[in-house]
Amino acid sequence: MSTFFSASFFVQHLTALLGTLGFAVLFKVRARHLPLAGACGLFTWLVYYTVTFFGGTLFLAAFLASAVATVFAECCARVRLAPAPVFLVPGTIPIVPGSDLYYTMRYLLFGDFDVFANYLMRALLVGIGIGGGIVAVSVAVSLLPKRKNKLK
Amino acid sequence: MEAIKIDVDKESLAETVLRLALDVGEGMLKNGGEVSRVENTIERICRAWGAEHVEVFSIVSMINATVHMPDGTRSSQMRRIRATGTDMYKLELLNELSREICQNHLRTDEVDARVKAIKRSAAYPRWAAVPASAVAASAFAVFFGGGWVEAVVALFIGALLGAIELFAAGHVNELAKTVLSAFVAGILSFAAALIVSGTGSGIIMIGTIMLLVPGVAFGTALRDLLCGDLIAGGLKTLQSILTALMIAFGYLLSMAVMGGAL
Repeated sequence: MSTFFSASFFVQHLTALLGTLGFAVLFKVRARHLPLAGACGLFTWLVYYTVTFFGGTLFLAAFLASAVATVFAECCARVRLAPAPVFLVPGTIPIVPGSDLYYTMRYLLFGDFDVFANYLMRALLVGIGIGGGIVAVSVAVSLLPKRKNKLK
Repeated sequence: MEAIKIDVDKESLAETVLRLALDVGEGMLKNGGEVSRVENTIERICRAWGAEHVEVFSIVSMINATVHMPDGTRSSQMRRIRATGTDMYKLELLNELSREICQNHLRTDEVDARVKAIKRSAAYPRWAAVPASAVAASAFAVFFGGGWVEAVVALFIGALLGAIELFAAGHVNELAKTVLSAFVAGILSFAAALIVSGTGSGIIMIGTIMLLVPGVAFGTALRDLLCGDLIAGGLKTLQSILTALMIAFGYLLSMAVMGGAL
C-alpha cells in the first residue's frame, strides 16, 4: 500500500488550494475571505483524498467531502456574517468531476460505449454525492434554532 | 412608517416597498444567490417595512411577487432575469443591505441609492479574470497528473479562456460561448501535443475544462431539487446538462478539425 503522505499528497493539496483560489477570484470572493475560501477547498480535498485512500467509494468520498465543506462554509458564514456560498462555491471546486467528464466525452467520440458509460456514471455519482452532502448539512442547519434578528 | 418616502403620484406604498425588495432580490439572483435566499430576502424586506401579506415565487430566470400593505395598497410585480453570473462580492453586499433593512428599517431612498452603488461596485478589476483563470487551469492540470509542460500550456489556454469570458460577457449567448471556449481549448491542447512531443493533450484539456464544467451549478441544482424547489432545480439541472453537452460539442469539433493528429 502506498503511503498516505506521498509526494502526490502534497502536490494535489497545493494545486487544489491554488485552483480554489483562482476560482474564488473568478467568482469575485472579496480579498479578505480568500484565505477561508481556500481553506474550504483544501479541507474538501483532504476529506475526499482520505476517504478514497482508505478504499471508500467515489460517492461516499464526494458526499462526505461536500458535507464537510458545507459545515465549514456555514461556520465561516456565521463568523464573517457573509452568505455561505461565498466559501462553499469555490470550496467544492476540487471535487468537481472534471477528468471524468473529459473521459466521458473522449470515449463517446471513440465509440467505446462501455468505457463511456463507466465514466458517465462516475461523473454522475460524484455530482449526486456533492449535491447530497450539501443538502444533508443544509437541512440539518435549517433545523438549528435561529438567532432572533427576525422582526417582531 | 417614516422610513418609507413615497411620491404618491408615482407609486403607492405597496409598489415602492415591493420595487425595492425586488431590486435587492433581483441583484442576488443575478449574482449567484440561491433561489431560497432570494425568496426569503424579498419576504423579510417587505415584512420589515410593515407588509401584512407577502407572496414570492422565484426561479432562476424570473421573480414574481405580491405584497399587501396595511394602508390597503397592493402590488404585484415580476422581474425577468436574463444574464446570471457568480459575483460573491455583490451577493455579500446585498445580503448585508438586506440585513440592515430588517434590523434598522433603512429609509427607502437610502436603499435605492445603496442598490445602485452595489450594481456598480466590483471586488476586482475586470482583467483579474484573466490571471485567475490562468492560475486555476494550470493548477488543475497539475492536480490531475500533469507536469511542467502541461502546467505552462494550461496557463496560457486558461488566460485565453479568461479573455474570451471578458470580451463575450453579457452580449454572447452563454452556450455559444461555452462551445467556442471548449473548441479553442481543444485545438490548442492538440497543437501543444504536436509541437512538444510527449505532452498530454488530455491533461491540459482536463485542466482547462474545469473552467467550463457546470459542477457547482449541478450541485446547487440538486440541492434545490431535494429542498423542494422543483422548478428552479429542474431548470438548473437542464442548464448544466446543456452546458456539459456544449463542452463536449466544442471539444469534439476541435478533434474533428485536428483530424488524425492524435
